[in-house]
Amino acid sequence: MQFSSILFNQNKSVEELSLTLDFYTDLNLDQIIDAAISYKTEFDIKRYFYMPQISKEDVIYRQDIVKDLQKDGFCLSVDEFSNKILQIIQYQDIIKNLEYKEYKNGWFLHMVTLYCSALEDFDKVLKSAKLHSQGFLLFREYLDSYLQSDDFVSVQKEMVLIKEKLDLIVYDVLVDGMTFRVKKYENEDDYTKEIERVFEKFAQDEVKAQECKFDKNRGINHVNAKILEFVGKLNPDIFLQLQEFCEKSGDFIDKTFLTFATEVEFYISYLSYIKVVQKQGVSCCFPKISENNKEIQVKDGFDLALAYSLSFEKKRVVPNDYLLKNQERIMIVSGANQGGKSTFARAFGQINYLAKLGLLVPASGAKIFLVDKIFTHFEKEEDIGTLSSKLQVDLLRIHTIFEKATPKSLVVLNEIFSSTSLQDSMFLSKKIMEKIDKLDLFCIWVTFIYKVNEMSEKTISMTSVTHEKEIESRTYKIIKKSPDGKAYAKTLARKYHLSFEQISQRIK
Amino acid sequence: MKVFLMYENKDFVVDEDLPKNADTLMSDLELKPLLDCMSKEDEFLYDVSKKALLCSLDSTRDVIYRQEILKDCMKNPLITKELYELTIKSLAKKQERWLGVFGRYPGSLLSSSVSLLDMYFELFVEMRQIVDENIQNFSSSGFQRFFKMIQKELDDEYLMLVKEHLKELKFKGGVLLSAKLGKAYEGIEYTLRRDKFATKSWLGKILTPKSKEYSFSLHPRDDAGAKVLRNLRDEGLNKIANSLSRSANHIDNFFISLRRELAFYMGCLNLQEKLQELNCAFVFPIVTSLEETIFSTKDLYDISLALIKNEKVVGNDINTDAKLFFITGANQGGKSTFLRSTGQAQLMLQCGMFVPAMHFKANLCNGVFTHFKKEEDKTMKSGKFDEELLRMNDIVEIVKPNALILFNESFASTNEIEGSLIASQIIKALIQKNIKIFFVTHMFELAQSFYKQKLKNTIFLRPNRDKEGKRDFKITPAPPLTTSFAKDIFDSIF
Repeated sequence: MQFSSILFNQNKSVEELSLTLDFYTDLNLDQIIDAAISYKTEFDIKRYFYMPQISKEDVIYRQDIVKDLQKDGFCLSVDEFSNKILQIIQYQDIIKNLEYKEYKNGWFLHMVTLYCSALEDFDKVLKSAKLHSQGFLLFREYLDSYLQSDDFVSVQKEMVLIKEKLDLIVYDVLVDGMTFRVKKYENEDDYTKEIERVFEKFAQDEVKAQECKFDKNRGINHVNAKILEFVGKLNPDIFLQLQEFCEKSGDFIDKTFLTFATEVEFYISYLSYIKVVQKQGVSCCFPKISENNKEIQVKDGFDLALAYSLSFEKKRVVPNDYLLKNQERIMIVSGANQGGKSTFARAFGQINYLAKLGLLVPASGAKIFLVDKIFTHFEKEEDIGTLSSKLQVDLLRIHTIFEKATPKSLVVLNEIFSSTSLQDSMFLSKKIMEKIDKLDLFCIWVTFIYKVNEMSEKTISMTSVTHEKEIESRTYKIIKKSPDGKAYAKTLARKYHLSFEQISQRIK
Repeated sequence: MKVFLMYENKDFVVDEDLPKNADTLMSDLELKPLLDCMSKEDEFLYDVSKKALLCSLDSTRDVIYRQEILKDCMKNPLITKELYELTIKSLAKKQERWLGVFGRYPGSLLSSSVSLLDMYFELFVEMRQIVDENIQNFSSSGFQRFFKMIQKELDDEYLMLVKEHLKELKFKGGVLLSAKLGKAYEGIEYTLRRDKFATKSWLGKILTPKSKEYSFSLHPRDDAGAKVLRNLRDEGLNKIANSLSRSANHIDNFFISLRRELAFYMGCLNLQEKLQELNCAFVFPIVTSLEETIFSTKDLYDISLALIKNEKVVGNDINTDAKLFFITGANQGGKSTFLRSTGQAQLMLQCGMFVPAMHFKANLCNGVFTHFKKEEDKTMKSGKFDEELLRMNDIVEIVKPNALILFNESFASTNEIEGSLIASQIIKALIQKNIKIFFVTHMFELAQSFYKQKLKNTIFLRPNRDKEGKRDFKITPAPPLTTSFAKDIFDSIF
């Protein structure tokens, strides 16, 4: 029996995208990924975040696995198993590089002990958990048959036997200057206890806790190796038995579990990350995926990276709803400065990408089309250079996007052409819009030019509004609404106590 | 091993935990000259005396326990000093030998602990000798218990046993450890064992069959190996080293508490010496319980005044079971002095000391409080009267029934009618709580209102004054007078 992968359905190979793609930084996905993997730095999982799935079937394979992992306690048990397996991998390295071979057998026995108990513990966990995902069910089947195999059973039996015998060994070491002597323990009294009795009468109720420092005699070195050799000579039978055991079971460890342990941490790291956000009371969901129906519906969508950093200030993001139905493909976002427009655009991009990873997305409900590629073009303020060359660069990049984009792609444009004259940018925008319209791809376009929404039949207009009560909050609501230049001016006036009502009240 | 020379069954602790009004008591009752005399500029004696003086005992039994011990000390001042010197010696030698635990390795902690224990046990031998020779001269239950404890706990057999162990603890023949194999063949549960072989006589060594053993000697230049062996030795010695350093610490604490508890009596001996030199009277007071109200004195004087002036000062004779004392009358007539001497004597009585009088009998009080007029205090933000009430508020917050409160010209910073009214309300409330009150006042209204009521348990006192207006600073019972004799003073100055 075989088990292939907990990440890739039927072990399909998936392309690893370049970390330098614009959309990773523009959508702050790099922040999300880095923060997520920071919860599991000991596992090499970063690359999996750069391997989006292509088919709906594969996305669902993962979603089901995550659903299983969301169950109380199960995720913890899986994580515990992974960490045990990681330790076993480290032990393999240690044994390979041991300088003193006296230790080799002891380490091997220890590793086998851990390995057996890790597998058995996890088997119990899997059997008691109510699992539904294909991935975990297949893994459970594999593990179960592995544990029942003759190989495993006989190795485990002998290991237990040897351990019992080793536990019975007690030896004496007499340290005298540069000489040491090793012999069997002969029931000598515990001298510390005897001394404690002698001075007992001075003991007081309150004892100042004081411990002096010392380096414990741990680790592997020639002295300990020599002591061990002597202990072996004092107990030759059992040491020989262990030696034979090690020779027999050298390649005992199954690599399937090593792969599983790392891969499953991809999910766990992301769940740990998202838990921080969920604690602030915002919800994430599994998006409903479609491969042919080009309709998009999002409820309470938010920027995950922003929500994560706000959660450390115990603040919540303001979520947004939106709907693209029938022929609608393009969201034109306009409105006040610092009104959360970029955040809104990012949030939408994040939902699409995270959905392709098979993970929970930052929204309380989402129905999306499985886009094939994501492109972004964000105005970069730090760009230095003459206007003409900047415009040139911008256009070149946009050109590249439309060369690669397909009708299934998503394009996120953020304040392009803002450094050009209004007339020029109107012209350019119209040209771009024609391309978008023709390709019939999804686009979210943040712009200050409110007339852009009139340039195509496929647009809907979204505007940032600021509620007076939320003046001090950093995130604002975006609603479906035609652009309105007055709303922002009113808010700003209030902030400086210069609204009509305020001025009337203040002047007495 | 407990010292228990300050309390029958409790350690005496010197810390910052003084009554909340400690600073006020110190200044209002002028306690510093008294403490200075007791401590002879020794900071430690000062702190101990201060703590003892301000933290009153709360039962007659406890007071008598200390009085008896103090009497023993006064009978045997040289032996007391000898014992005290022993504790000083332990302190000095410890500073010489002890480097502390922090940052030490077990091996070195062990050897310095053993060296410290060596020193302590030498002192114990000395102490045993002093005790054996003098036990019959001490009759207080405190000293008897202490001396008998020394004889019992530090008997010859025990001292010999310790001596042998301290020798063995130098581990001349190496350190024997037992161990088991832990995970990955790692040695675990290192336990120090007493080497049966090492403790045998030479004949025993020959006769004991040696069991099978393997031995290995490191190359003399194998520094890494030596370090491993040292760590191994340290791991084996860690527990016993910490245990011994704890024991050394406990014994050190024994000497420290002995020093602390003897220090109080040393302070009393210093004071006794000075008073004898000045030919001032002192006497062990007769103490009665909280309920058995009495105030009976003969020649009760202000001890700080005597110590400052370095001469004998005038005392007062009062004999009453009153709970409310009004002291009215002439300025500079010795009212404040009388008030202070009352407070001082009460504190001294309550800590088991002798008191500055030829005779003194008083009941215990549940804490001593003072509310004195503060004339010099100009930094107060709030008004003077506010400040007075604020201080009164502080007292009421902590005072308990059966306390003693001394008022000196209180509530006089407003007009007399208002002041009297407030003062009388306060006094009435306090009396209801069985609180003993001494109230020095100019406020005729106040004194008069109480005088008219003819309450039980109230006494009115006034400085003596002969017909020419001369005074002898003696306070005697007399009804309040309207004038405060300011005229006299005015006249004497102009």
